[in-house]
Amino acid sequence: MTDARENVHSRFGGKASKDDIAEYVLVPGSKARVRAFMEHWEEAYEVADHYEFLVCSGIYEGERITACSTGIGGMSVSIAIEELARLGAKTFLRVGVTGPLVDELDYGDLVIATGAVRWDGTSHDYVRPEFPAPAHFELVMASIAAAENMGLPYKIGVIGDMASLGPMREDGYRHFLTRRTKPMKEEMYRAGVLDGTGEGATMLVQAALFGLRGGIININAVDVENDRWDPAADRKAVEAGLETLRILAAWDGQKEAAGRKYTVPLRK
Amino acid sequence: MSSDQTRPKYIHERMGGQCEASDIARYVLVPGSENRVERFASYWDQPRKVAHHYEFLVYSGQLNGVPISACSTGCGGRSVSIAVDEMANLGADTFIRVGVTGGIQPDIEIGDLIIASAAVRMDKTSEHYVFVEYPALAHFEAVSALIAAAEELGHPYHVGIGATASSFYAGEGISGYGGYRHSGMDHIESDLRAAGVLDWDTETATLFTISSLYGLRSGRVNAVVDDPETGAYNPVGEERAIEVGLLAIEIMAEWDRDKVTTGASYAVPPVVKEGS
Repeated sequence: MTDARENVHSRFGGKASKDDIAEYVLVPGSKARVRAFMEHWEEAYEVADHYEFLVCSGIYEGERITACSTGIGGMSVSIAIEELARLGAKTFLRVGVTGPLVDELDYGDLVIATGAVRWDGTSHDYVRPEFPAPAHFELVMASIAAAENMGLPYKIGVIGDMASLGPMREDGYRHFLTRRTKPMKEEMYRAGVLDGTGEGATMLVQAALFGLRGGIININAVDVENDRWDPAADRKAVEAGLETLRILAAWDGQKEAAGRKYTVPLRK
Repeated sequence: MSSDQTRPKYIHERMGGQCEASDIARYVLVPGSENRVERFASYWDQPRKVAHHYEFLVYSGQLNGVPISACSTGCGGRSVSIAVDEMANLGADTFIRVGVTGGIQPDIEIGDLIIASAAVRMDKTSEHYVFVEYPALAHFEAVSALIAAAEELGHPYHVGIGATASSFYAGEGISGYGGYRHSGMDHIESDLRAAGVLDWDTETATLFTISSLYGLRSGRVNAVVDDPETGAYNPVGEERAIEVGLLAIEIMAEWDRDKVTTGASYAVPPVVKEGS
């Protein structure tokens, strides 16, 4: 079976090769966050800049690493994951910013996804709607360990993924919303969904289908009480993402050396 | 307690009014069959029968010092949902399903164990609880404990997504009486195989969706007992699944005690410090 015919997005416009892409890949939405990751790396170079996809690779804490912006929405992220997977990526960690949906979420909290609600649309092109969008448990554990290690407040749970901002904002331009959109937020609230994003479920479904690992860390950058958005939150999410992959790579090394299939907590 | 307080308000409440919160442990094994409840109890100290109501046989006891319960759920989403709702109302917060299954992937052998990380929600019951796009997730601590138990006991296992159907013959594409089939049954299994789904059952997605919604923990280990390709049936894996389910609860209880001691919120592996 061949991967696919050549197309406009193959290897990010023909600019990336297998040698360029690491097994560990950070997938933020914005290109700015790719550059923020690079500032922390020992070595870094630009692989491709094609449509919304800025792909950079380098070395972080001695480990090969890649970052690829996905742009916004399921269609964009699905192209990025397809291309990265074909070029050898095995582990995807999405790092993003978000606003809160449930009351328990505090300003500045990291939101570690255990799975996502498939209101993205794109993942339904891949597999039936009953199929779950789960984060890989090793990435959930590594994200928790990273947050604990950095002393950052965090919550874990199911997050939302929506094909538009409509359900979160409740009123579109000139207050346009379909009757169906308005109750979506209430439904997610009742189900305890922590926050809303536009990319998570697509990526988690693809990773699960392809037998790869996917995880998501968002930071709640919306200060509801003071009605402001904190750009410094971005920096914390970037550092938490890097720390998560550092921890995961160390666990992977230990498990390979011991001949184990999975990393699990120790017993006494 | 007066009879007014013990009488259930609806037929299945507290399993027909036969249980109290003090009867049910935090950790509950939820197999399908009543027979498997008795087999669990044979490993415990001071096992006692708490209730027997419809397909729900409930035992409680001690497993190497850990208070434990087991409740059979019968087959299907509706039965599981009643068992989980009632057990949760009585104080249970951790559910491990131990079941039997047929494998979907070619590398799965009879006798293997399948640990579910998540499930495909073709159960329908879970849609009465929450919209279908919500994920049916195992709790990562339960997944970890089941893996640790299978490793420690040396039993062969796989980890991944399982499919939950709302019927055994039609839903899993097997064939009904007289060879009854409809066109959807012809590609359901090949579609799930392409999606990497490991196995079939009729309970897991309901259990995972409800416990995830309620903020409770659940996990699942199934034993592969038949091979759809050859028609072979062999329940050799069932005892392995029972052993793994029991040990997973001991392991979770150990991690839960550690969490109380260290103040940690979750059980995770130790972190290697930066630059070391």
